[in-house]
Amino acid sequence: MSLASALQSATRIQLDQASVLVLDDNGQSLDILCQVVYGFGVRNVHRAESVEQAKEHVASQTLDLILSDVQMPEPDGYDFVHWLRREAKEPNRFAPVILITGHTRQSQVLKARDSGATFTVAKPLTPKVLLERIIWIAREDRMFIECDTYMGPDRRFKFEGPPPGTEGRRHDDLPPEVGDAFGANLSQDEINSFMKPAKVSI
Amino acid sequence: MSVARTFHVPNRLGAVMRRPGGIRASEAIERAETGVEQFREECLKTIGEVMVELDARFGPNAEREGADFEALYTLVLKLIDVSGFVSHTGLDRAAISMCTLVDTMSERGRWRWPAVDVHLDAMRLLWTQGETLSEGEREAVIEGLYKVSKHKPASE
Repeated sequence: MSLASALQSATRIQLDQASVLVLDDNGQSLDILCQVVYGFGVRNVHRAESVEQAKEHVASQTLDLILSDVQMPEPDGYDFVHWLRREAKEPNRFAPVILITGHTRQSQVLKARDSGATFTVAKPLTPKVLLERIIWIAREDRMFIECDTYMGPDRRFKFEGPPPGTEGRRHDDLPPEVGDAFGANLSQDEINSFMKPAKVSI
Repeated sequence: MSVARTFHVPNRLGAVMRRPGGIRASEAIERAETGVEQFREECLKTIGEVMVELDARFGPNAEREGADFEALYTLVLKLIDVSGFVSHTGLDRAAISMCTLVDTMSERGRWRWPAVDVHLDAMRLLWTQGETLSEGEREAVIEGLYKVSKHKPASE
């Protein structure tokens, strides 16, 4: 599913039972973000103006989604997600996180990549873009990865096989080259049978 | 190389959103856009204040000796935070270009004041007249800023 296809005007969203944490150290920006979330129908919005406040919410609430600003006095949004993924209790440890950033410094690119966030989006944020991401997250089925250097959703969105010339690191990675077909072609009846599942008695 | 553990996590948000009822996505967006309108005036006021402060602290007439990269970066981020209301003017993108410039200068430990001046002039133009510029003019200004902020002087 692409981001563009995630949001169609006929798509229905049901968020009134969702519990959402919004973290931003800029009060105005926090107000705007919370208002957007209320507009989506969320009633249970937890506001935090610092990472410390956010940690308190994480400890006391079960969260379905976290929206966090990145640029804050240390600890910043990346540090918060890093803490969440490694030290928070389940199920919040695995809660989807959308990081929102005004600008990413060159020196922060790797930190951003390794933070464990589900998505990073740029400011100024529009309701449409945010809703697209939320719907995408609600429908996705990405695996979680845990290793010494990373804890978070699989960062590989596309399954296009390993880069050319490499063998890949996953046990189920297929080589990029398509091999020759083997065996006879399927008959039309066999193809049709895939489309029309038959009732069988066991 | 470390050993990676791969596992499935229940999608709680998906489960919540699959419950019956709810509203259309288009309605949700409309409600969100209407809701944030109440902050428009306050945010425009903030942007105006940041523009004045940028000029006073980092403009051509400011005391530039000992200027702090972080202070300029933080100030511009404050503008970006609330710039959703002026994205039609291009001011948000000009501000992001300014952040790129400051980040690059900070990495190299050297100010490029003419580049800062160009950004401040362009931001002032977009803030005051961005709405009245044609799309082509606006894009030309922003493209020019991107070239300046990403430019690496030959001496470095």
